[in-house]
Amino acid sequence: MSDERVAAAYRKYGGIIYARCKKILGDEAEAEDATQESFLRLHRHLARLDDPQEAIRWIYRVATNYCFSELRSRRHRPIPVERVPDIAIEHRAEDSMMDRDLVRGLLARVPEKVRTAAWLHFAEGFGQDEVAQILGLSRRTIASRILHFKRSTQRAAGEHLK
Amino acid sequence: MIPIENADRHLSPLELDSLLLPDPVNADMAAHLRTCAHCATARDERERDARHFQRQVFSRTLPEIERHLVRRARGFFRWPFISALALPALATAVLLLPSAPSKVSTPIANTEAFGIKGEPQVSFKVFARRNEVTFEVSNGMHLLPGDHLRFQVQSGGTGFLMVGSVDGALQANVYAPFDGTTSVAIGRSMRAVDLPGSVILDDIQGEERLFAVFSAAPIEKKRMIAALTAHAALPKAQRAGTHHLQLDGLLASQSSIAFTKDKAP
Repeated sequence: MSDERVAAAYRKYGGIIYARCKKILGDEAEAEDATQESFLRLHRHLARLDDPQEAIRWIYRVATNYCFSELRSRRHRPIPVERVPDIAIEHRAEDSMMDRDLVRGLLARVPEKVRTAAWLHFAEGFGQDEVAQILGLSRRTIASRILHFKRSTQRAAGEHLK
Repeated sequence: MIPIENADRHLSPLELDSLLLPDPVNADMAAHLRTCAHCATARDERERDARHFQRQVFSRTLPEIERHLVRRARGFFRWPFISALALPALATAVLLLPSAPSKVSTPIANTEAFGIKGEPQVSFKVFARRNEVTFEVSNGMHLLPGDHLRFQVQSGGTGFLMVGSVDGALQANVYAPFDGTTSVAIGRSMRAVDLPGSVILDDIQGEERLFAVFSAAPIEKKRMIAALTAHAALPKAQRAGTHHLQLDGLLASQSSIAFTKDKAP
């Protein structure tokens, strides 16, 4: 892939990748890093795909997985520089889940394979069919993972209320 | 053009993201956006993020993306696949290297770098963000209170980094790690790494000099503070001409950059 094509793909899709990463990570600086890493994993797909919706599905799949792996590793790495609250997570009544931080906390309780499906469904608002399409899995698998997440959430709520 | 199947429902995240692409917007989608505050808000949020990317991230990060892809094409990135085997041996070899006094090497770009002869060069770049503009900080540049600083480094194979400064009030500060007690692990990869997070400049005016100390093993923060304090105690003329910290016995490379903090307008 030539430099020009890499630059064109990065310019065309970088904003979409960045928006995804910022939504999950909640931090501009970390989202910038995640955007670069996600693009490096994605650039071959993005160059090959003519259908923009298909390209965006790949972005959701790769960037979401990458960001969740980052969130997981956050707990294990030192915080090297003073954290600046670059952005506030927007709080909208229409959101499927009212508080994305709450979702992040709940997601930390479930296995990795459940996490991405639950985020796409509850936080992003995708239907189960769409999540299946994005992740390249069957609808039955997605339904099972979302059920897993719901049960885990109910257990967490029960523990909290005890 | 992307078809919209049902004008009565909200736009899907995919449709909202597709609005950021250069393709023309579907007329149904445009009509929906005119009447749906929920989708218009979601679109505005995406557009804000995309603008931030185009203005502040794209041009700064594209060169590293291209360098990374070139290295990958040349086969550099085969080595992560064998790293599980090679890294322990490499780490052992690095730790067994005899200590040597630092030797001054040639400057890199806008910084003055001090490397060990024969060692790969380190790189320390500072970027400042003011309002909606991001720019690279060069030696002697004037900055303002409230500017956000970010650091981009290349380990040169050293593995650990500590960033400190002596500000205009001759106070020693350690920025990386902010709340740890030893150097940050930055890996031994040759690619540039953006340190996460940023530093907001306070309102202490005058020259502030940043020191990036790269090392093969972590150094303690108190040792860095002691070196910074010793630097701050130098006579003004000597301090101005000294661009590295005295960290005797440390197998390290250093890089330094100074800026002047002006009064807020």
